Amino acid sequence: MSRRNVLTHGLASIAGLTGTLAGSKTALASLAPRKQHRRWGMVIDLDRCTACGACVVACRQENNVPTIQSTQDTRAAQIEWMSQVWREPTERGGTPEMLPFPCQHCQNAPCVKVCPVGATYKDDEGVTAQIWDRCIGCRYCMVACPYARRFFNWVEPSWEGSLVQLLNPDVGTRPGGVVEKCTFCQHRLQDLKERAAVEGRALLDSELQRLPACASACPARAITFGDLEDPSSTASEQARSPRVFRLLGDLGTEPNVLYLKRDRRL
Amino acid sequence: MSATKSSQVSSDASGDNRVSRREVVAGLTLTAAGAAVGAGGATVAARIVHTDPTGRALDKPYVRGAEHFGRLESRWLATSCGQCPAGCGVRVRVVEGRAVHIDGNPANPVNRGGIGARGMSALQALYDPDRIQGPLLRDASGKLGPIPWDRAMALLSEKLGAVRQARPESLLVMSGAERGFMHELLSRFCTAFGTPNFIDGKSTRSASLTGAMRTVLDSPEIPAFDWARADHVLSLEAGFLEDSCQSVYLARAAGEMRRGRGRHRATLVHLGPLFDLSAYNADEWIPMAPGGSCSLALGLCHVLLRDKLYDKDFVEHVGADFDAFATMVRTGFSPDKVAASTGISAAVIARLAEDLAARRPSFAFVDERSLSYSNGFQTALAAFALNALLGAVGPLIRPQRKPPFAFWPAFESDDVARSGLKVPRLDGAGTAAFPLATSVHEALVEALLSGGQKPEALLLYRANPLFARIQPKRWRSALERIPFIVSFSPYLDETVSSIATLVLPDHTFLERWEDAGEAPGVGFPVAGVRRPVVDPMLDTRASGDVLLELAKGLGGSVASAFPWRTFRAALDVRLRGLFEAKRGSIVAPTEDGFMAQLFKEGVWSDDKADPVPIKMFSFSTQYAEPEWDGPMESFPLKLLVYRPLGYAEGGGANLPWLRQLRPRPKSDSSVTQATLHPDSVAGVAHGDTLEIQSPYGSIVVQACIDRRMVLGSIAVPMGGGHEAFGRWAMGRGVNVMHLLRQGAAGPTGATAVCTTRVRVTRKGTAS
Repeated sequence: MSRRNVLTHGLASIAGLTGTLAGSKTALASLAPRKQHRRWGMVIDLDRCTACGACVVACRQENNVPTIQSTQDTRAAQIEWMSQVWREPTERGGTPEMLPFPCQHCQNAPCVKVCPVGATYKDDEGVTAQIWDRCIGCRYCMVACPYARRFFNWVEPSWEGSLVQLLNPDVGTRPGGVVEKCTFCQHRLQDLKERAAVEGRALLDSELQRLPACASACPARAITFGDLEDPSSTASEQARSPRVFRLLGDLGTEPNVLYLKRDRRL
Repeated sequence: MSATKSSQVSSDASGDNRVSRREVVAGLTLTAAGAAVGAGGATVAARIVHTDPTGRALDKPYVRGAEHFGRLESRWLATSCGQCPAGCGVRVRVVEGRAVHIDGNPANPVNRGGIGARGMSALQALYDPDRIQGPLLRDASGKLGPIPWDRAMALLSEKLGAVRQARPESLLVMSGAERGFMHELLSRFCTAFGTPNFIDGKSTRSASLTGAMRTVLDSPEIPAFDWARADHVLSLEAGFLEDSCQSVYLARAAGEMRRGRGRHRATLVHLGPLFDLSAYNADEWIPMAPGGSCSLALGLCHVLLRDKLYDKDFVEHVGADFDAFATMVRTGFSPDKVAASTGISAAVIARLAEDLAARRPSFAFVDERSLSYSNGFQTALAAFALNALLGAVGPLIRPQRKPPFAFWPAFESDDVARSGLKVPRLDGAGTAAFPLATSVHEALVEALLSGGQKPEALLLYRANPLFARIQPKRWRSALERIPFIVSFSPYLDETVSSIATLVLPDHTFLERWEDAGEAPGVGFPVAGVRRPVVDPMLDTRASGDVLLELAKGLGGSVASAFPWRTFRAALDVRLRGLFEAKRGSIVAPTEDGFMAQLFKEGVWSDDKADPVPIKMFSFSTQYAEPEWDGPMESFPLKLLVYRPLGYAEGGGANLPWLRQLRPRPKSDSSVTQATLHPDSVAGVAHGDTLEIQSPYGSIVVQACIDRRMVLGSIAVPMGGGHEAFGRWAMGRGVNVMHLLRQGAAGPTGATAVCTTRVRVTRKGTAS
């Protein structure tokens, strides 16, 4: 089946749905892109984070990210949408610092600019998205990404024996030869939008805060997701904290992932 | 492929108005609100085709139970995590009979919706391709081969029946870190059978803490520390975010104490030899000599007494034996003296004590890692004494309150059981040598090796002594003399693969009915329950059910002690107490309604329960320095052994997700790394190959250089070097247990892992 067919069918199914939902105008309105600008972002409070690594495992589990093979082949294991990155201290006597490190979903995303086939793009809501099967595996985006948050499938992903059972049916796996990355758990967002549409209501900040798998798992509640353009969202409230910083802020990439500085004092 | 599926889904859409998740094709979403096909839906998913946008399909083979689901039907089921003893509440998403996601259960007060890396990895433990497929029997040639359950049960019943008739005390039962009613079932089985030799694993780690609780508060419970109300916490070598069984609860507490109380911010100071997650998360980390917590706590007591900063009310009204304690502390533990043994200056000790007094409510925290030295028991006593002087015992630290469970009916032992129970235990627990012990593993192995009365049969429940105990080779030679060894392990671990005669694989915790045991450390009563969230994947049986069936086969007082057909029935008897209490988070008019609600929510809790009153606190004058085995000249470094974050009670080694964690800077989980200060071994560089030798063995590890590590020590994590246990576990890293001195810490019989001196030689440089 050609790619064009996939797209046609996809659009046809949306068109079909329009019929089933015709009774609810509100529902239709919330499924369509909103007029009012929305920008999804994530605020990671390093003062709460205990470096437990739950976010990393949650992401692997939710997004069918390949994991280590029992063989010596480590290529698949290098894919990690959410990482624990330890930064060594810059000054003598300082302590290292662990950053939960997803795709930064830059507003000014270098990876998007270099993609020769339009596989990766900024969606209407600030997410750096990618169509896996449009990717030709040139890896320009990996070179361009200053955060090294894009990963290439050097091998076909595989799950040994019964481990295939635990794959999340909501998320497609990515084949060998394409680049993959964090999607801000786009499928969860879509699911929430659909539910809200059926119930004829707006999205609530309370259900968005812990929406991505990493945020939902975090025992210390260090990760908050939300609309950074909505001044009343918890994420945007946290984004106004004096502790806020962006990684490699001087590059002008304007990440939608913000960090709150660790504050250790006595 | 995907297009075909999407059109199918769309055409089904009119049947049901519920909403399910749809897959996302990158940015273009095939939205399908109302497209779900629910339980009443059309086809049974014998095979679900996992579509992906590329058209490649990943088949999921059939699993039992898939036929009870509609196409793409998804259910969230509440249960309790079983990856460590904390008992966090979890919700498992089951799609077409397959568990595909584990998340925290917000209704459970232990974790309130958060979940740790270990808990989520339970999916990989469930779908571990190396699980034992069904019962196994070792044949005459020494190979394990499949055997049907009925024959396995008949054999078990026949062998144990013969053992019971001859010498019931010659049955040895060893268990692991299980809590709750499964533990009590094993204990009841031993009593009814007539063997005193029930060696439980949970005493290994918590024996020092429970021994101290018995001594100072006369309570059999573990202590609950109220982190939520403390303004200042002093961690004495505690590994509370890594190897503690409460790490998820404590991670939440650590986050809340900083950012969860508005502008008010609590502080955490950590003392210890190693830059671990506790040190990382502390406001201040002060390096301290390993095992220094005991004298340091008493040094802090000295300052509080000297400067009259202690809680006089508490000491006068509740304290006992205070004068002797005060004299000991005043004469023997001045900051100058303590400075020499801890490496912390007298001025800093005075400041730490003043901070504790000034920032009340405050307490000093100890856990299993603090107590892994030979003086663990005395360290716990000293920490309790310090907390008593701070006025924290009572308001912040109390015995954990148990839920109001009902009891199983009493039973009458027959003559066989009575005769067996008269025989002394093999490990000497409860005797003059170990008065506070319930089990002493190290004494057991000595007793087995010294000959004497040989056990005729061994039951192993969640225990893998040939890997996890000190000096596995010695354990092997001690246990392989036992002619009939039965393991209930679901995994082909070292003990199963090398010495077990009969293997009766248990379900994983996602496949069985169980309780989660009392939540450690929350304070108020919490009772988590487990239910099967998926049908058993393999030909396994819940060990509780197997034990009940065995009891019936054995007859006599064993059969009469277990009148239940299934473990679930036995469980319901105990849980009835929660229903009858008519209080807490679930109150229901009928028992059936209560049970349904309990297993739906996964937890019952009662945060309004009155705290356990503190009537008397006995100050103790017991004190001990940590002992280090091996001569200083030939073995200059102290070996610190700890459980890393992914250890998961020894079960983490075959879980790829846990193997990939990076709990430390520069950590690499594919090898065993030894952390040391570069000046501890001349010329050592990061990544070098090191040989660590102790008087008992040697291992080869990779050097991880950390200038923050205290001089003169080397830290090695447990959990590496499996010779069995599955494809990810085998051949990765080395097992540090081979190096350790075997010796039980008196008087609690706790296994002390940090007691050995080693020498280190460079074998190769980093490539």
